[in-house]
Amino acid sequence: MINTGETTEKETLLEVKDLKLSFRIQKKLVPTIRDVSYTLRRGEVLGIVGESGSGKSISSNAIIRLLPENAVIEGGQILFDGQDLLKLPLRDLRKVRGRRISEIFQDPMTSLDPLFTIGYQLNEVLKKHTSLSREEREKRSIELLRMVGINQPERRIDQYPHEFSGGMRQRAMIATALACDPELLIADEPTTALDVTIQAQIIDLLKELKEKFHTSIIFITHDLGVMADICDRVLVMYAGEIVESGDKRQIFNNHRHPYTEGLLRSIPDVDGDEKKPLVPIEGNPPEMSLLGDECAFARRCPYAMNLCARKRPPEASLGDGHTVRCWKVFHEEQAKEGMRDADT
Amino acid sequence: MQTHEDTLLEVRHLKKYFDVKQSFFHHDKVRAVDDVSFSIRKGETLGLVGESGCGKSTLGRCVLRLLEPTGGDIFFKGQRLNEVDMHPYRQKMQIVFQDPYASLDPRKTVSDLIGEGLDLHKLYADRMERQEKILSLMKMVGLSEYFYNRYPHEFSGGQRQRIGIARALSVHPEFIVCDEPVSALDVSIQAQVINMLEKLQQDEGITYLFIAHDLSVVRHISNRIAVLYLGRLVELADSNELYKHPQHPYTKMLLSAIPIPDPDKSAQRKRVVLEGEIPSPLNPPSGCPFWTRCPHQTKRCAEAFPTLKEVAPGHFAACTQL
Amino acid sequence: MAMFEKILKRVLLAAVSLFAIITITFFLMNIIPGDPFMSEKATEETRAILIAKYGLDKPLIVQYGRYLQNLFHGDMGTSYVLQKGRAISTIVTESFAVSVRLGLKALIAAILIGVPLGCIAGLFKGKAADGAIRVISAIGISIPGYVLAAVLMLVLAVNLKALPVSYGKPGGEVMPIIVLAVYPTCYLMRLTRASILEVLGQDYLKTERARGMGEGRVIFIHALKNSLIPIITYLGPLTASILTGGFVAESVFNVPGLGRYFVNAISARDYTLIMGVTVFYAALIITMNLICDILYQVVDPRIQMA
Repeated sequence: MINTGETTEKETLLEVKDLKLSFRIQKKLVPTIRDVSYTLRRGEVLGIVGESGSGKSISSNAIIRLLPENAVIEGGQILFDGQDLLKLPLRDLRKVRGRRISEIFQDPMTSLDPLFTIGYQLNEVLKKHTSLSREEREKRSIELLRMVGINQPERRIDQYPHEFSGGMRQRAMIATALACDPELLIADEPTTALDVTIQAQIIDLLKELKEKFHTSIIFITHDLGVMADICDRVLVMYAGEIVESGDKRQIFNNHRHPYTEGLLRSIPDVDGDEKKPLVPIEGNPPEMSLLGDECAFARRCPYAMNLCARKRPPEASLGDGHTVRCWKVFHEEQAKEGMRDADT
Repeated sequence: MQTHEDTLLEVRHLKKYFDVKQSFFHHDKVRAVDDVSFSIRKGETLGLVGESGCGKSTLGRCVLRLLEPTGGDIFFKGQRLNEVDMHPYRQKMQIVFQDPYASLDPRKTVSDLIGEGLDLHKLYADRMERQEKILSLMKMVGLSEYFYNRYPHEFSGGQRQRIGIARALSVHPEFIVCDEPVSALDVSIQAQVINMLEKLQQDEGITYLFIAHDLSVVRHISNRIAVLYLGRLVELADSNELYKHPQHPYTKMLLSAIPIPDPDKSAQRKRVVLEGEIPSPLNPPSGCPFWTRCPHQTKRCAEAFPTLKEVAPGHFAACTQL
Repeated sequence: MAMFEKILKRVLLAAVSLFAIITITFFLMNIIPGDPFMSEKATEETRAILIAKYGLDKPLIVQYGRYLQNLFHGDMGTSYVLQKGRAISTIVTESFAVSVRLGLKALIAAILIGVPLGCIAGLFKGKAADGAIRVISAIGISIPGYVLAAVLMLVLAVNLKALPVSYGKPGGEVMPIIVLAVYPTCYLMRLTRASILEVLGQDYLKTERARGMGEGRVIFIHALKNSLIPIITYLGPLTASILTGGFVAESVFNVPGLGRYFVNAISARDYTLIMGVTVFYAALIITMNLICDILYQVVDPRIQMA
């Protein structure tokens, strides 16, 4: 296959189609990921934002099937570079994990095995996925630590995770994740447990590494500020489904879903001169096991209509990759189309 | 800083040192809070920000003498609180904790939890009055009376935090230390709780010391903000003033690290990335604790902690460059 | 060096605890009514002579002082009653050797059976194997030693005649070892299971899986090493208790071990022997704990000896 520069730029790396996943809880299947579809291009940072329980972590961990035992994938496809990862035997999937797709986690304090040195853990990954010799692996490990901004890597390589501060551990974690030049990095709330100044450092590091290695990143967070900073495209998840997706300007400046609007109005403004009152979303997220064929947000939605409580809205495409799952938007778009039809 | 008539709480040269055993022959002191002075006016919210390990939670607990300060004075309505029996003051001064999961006894019902303070300070004549008071508190924090006999585990995080707040309110406090009350909550729920706290302040005239690491939340709720770094108060100002004209280099960096939920503003902004991490409080730098990370460090910085200077009316900062 | 200083501190602390134990035991022992010679078939006169001979007529505090002085010089005295005239140190070393032979076998059996079964139970949580192991460990933990000893004796020795009743004959060690090993085996099963289950939920195993590591490596290198930590902490007290806790097994099966001497010494008010065994036991337990702390630190880099 011959790729011109332009097509590589837009080449799809990952395509998730109609992913359905449930949790088996007391012999009942509770739907947790409901018809999630999205695509990720090479070199793109895709943000997934949502509140706890929205399925944002599960949906991305499902890519490499890093799921709790009671999770059941009920349908869909996860095409990574054209290959359906859901059909890949676990043996082969392990060759993808850590090499072509890596993941970093929320809490650097608990995500590194405390009984093994950082050097051991880097060596472990390199040994598993590369054919480098022992000396080459050590050289590469030191290089990786230096790359993620850890000073004196020759010395620190022999230290245990507890000898690293939180920020440094997250850097070490990133080093192990990038050891084999992965094409996709899943970052599951990588800065949530860190202080703001350290968070800023880690985000800058990830941006820098992305530019350098052209790695695609799925960045999961509940912090809309972080999202605006690092992501190119954003998925907003609520109750296991994508309620709105688009590039970050569409989401932050032109959002259409009432939940997205609610999220943005819930957070205090850091920048404005006048203090704007917060407009919270009333109520609580729904109990997934009690959810039927209705809009999951209907009960908290200020614009809810009768229809919303009866039928789950379809995903409406607004063009330019902007999708919204909401009856109100659906009808508005239909009306627009109707007017356009009438014109012609 | 002179005492105003309407000062509710004043803290002077407050210190809290923890002993840390290094070895048999060697003890170290962690200066969790070191020589901090400020006052809070009646009905205002003073925000207290800083990164983990800066001593903000310790300070909040010392103010209520839940931790015994190592030195310095605390005045509540002009009364010196050091070495007095705190029982009568406990009714006036309350605390709301960060973790709504850990701070509620799982074996007690909501009514028991909220009624505890009422019982302790004997704030009712008979059972009827007790029940009425509990129900009105529940209503005040937005909990349906239908939850009266429920247990904490039946509630979501936001609702538990409401229970925690109702507990604090039950004794009609004049002052509440809010120690990261919304940090564990999802944004939409966070906004519900913040609005509720603000409404309570308007209706009941409660004064808050609001401790948080989320700078946008602190800015939203606070009238004035104090910035702590390694146990030291480095800057104190009105919240707008602090965000518009930060004086201390640490404050500047802290503010520039806040992620802005707006792609255009976020892209325009020049971030002052703070190098390095907070030094260990066990072994803090000499002089100004910030000089090791400060881009403007001079020789003088390592010599002594700079005193707080009033750089503008009501705006104090501690930096040798000012 | 900090490590050396820490060990020195622990040794000093150990000496202080040992001294406290000696003191308390000495005075408590003297509170028990009676004296070593009350069962002597002798006249009041000879008893008085014996009492005077061993200095038991002196004020307690003087006796105590003298005991400490002798002990400091390594002299634990001689037995008054049970093996009259023999040096306590000889009795303790000889009988302890017997206890150690039994105890070590029991300990090894407990570790070799308890830890692997606990692992299996943890790894197959909720499956049949886990259920069976949990039931067995529950029974083993709750059954008292003397009941077990009596049942074993009745079934294996009396009814089946598979094993000799008393110690000393070929195969005589088997039943005492079983009695000694059952509780620790079951306890280790339970501890290992709990520890494995806790470690299996840890984030760092998820990290290892995300790095493409196979289940074998995740379980046997990462999970197992982490779950051994609480087990190692338990091994110190366990070893000490197996070595010192043979009262029941040794008495029932008539094993000439230290445990049996301890029991007999108390009922005979054999003061020097009681003190000797106590000092020895205390020193043993303290040493075992110290060794364990050091071992713990070797396995877990996070632990700094306090």
